[in-house]
Amino acid sequence: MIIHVNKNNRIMSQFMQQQRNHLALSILGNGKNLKRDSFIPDTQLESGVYTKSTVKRVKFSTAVLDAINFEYTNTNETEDSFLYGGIKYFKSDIPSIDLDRCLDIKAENNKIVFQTGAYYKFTDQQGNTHALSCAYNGVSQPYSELVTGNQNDISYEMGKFWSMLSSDGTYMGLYYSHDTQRQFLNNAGITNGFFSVQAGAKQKEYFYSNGVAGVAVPKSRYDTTYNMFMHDKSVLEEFEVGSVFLIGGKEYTLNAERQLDIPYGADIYDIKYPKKSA
Amino acid sequence: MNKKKVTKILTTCLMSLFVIGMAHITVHAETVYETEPNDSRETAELIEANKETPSGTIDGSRTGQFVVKGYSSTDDADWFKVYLDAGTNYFTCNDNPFNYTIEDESGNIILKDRYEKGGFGPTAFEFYTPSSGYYYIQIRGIISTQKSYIFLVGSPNYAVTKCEIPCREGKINMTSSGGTQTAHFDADVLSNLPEDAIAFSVALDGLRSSSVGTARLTNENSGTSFSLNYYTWSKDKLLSMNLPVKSTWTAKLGFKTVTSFTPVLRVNFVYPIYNTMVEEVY
Repeated sequence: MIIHVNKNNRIMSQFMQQQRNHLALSILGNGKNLKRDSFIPDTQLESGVYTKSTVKRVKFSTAVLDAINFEYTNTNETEDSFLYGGIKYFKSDIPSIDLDRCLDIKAENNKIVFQTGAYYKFTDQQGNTHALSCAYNGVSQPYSELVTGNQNDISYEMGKFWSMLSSDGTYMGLYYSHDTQRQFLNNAGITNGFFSVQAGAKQKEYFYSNGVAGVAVPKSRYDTTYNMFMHDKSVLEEFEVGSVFLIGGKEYTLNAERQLDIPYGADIYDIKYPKKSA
Repeated sequence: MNKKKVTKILTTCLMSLFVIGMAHITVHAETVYETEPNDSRETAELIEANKETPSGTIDGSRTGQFVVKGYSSTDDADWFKVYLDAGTNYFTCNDNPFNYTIEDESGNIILKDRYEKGGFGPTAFEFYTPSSGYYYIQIRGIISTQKSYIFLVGSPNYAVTKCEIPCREGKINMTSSGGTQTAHFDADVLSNLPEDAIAFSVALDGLRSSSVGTARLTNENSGTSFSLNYYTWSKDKLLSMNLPVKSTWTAKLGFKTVTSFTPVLRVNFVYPIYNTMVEEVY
């Protein structure tokens, strides 16, 4: 009896047993009158029993998907899975975001609000619809898409656009052309005048301008500029009384106090100045 | 001396002059103080546009930075002339408040605006120039007393700082079964991180050189991965990868020895200055 110490020895012992059986047969003869017992007893001391994998592939519920996307800083994440409620969920099983659960990016009363814990969708110029999520006071491609290697530049740029506006839009012109900014704002239903963008707890107000100071002018800048025109008589001293200024497409006449009666909310960055005094 | 030889000599001389000339063009950071008289458009002082870049800020050279300083009041306007490229430019202001006017070469007013100090650092104002060419800038103080002013015109003003992102898992245990452990660093939890901050170097602090065998870092927002240098567990010269700091960063740590540590990801980044300077971000 051979004591099996490893797999190789087990295989060898089986082979030897078969050889012994063949030898026994040949010794006994292969006459047709002999009954052949072809049973070869197994000489293994132990054998494994094949069973189905004990790893259960659990389907993702919306609750689990949402936890990944909105609470990922609190998740138990490994290289290939998430542990949630004591159950292991594999990243390879992560489904796409159901677009029916996504809200449109649409302003109400010129206010865009991205709520923490919500999904949003937008359609790009090629007609493809993308999902975004609002988590941790920002808008971005959902974390579930990032950890499955589905990074998407278009989603990244759209998320960054709204996140920047909700935080500080000073440098929007550095990353987005004026046409692109107008397209994103117009598609969201933002009309001329003051508007605000909020993502989670962050919010900022802007003036939608068609002038030379950018598309989304921070309201703080607008207020400073407006107060300058309203209260500083030296600003327009180089113009004759009676000169006509075109502001946001409307005409305003310089009065005797060298001021213009500009209503708050006029586009004071879209000004056609008249000729200066000689 | 034949024609060919003369031409060759002339060409060589011209090329030498060109090289010498190029050497005198300002490429380093520069600060100029206004020079009177510059009280009219006709006597406008010629300045250079600010041409700062993120890479110049990172290496400390401030290559292309051009700062203008001066004094002005309601009775003392200062004029400057600068060549600007067409498109989006920035007028970055600091110090005391002032009014400013930007005109094109024909005298058409592009913008009239006012700078008032909004925060701790400089304040940037976007403006659009319809074509490349010379533009005139008038600075005028808002009170009758002379007050100092600072401005840059052209590209944004950049700054560098760092942030330390804690490990989501807290402590990492490298176990005797070997393999890799994963650590996550969520920059989203940091409160005043600029949305457009870009990383130029990273380092895993909190582990020894022998704590792990390998370390590979992934910026989840971009999907870009790279290995950290052995021993120091750091990597620099990342600017060209355009890695947004505002992301989850995932570190895959290869086993070397049984040990535990609490890693922190230190990210050095560059950003265009907003009206509040960003100190170290936590």
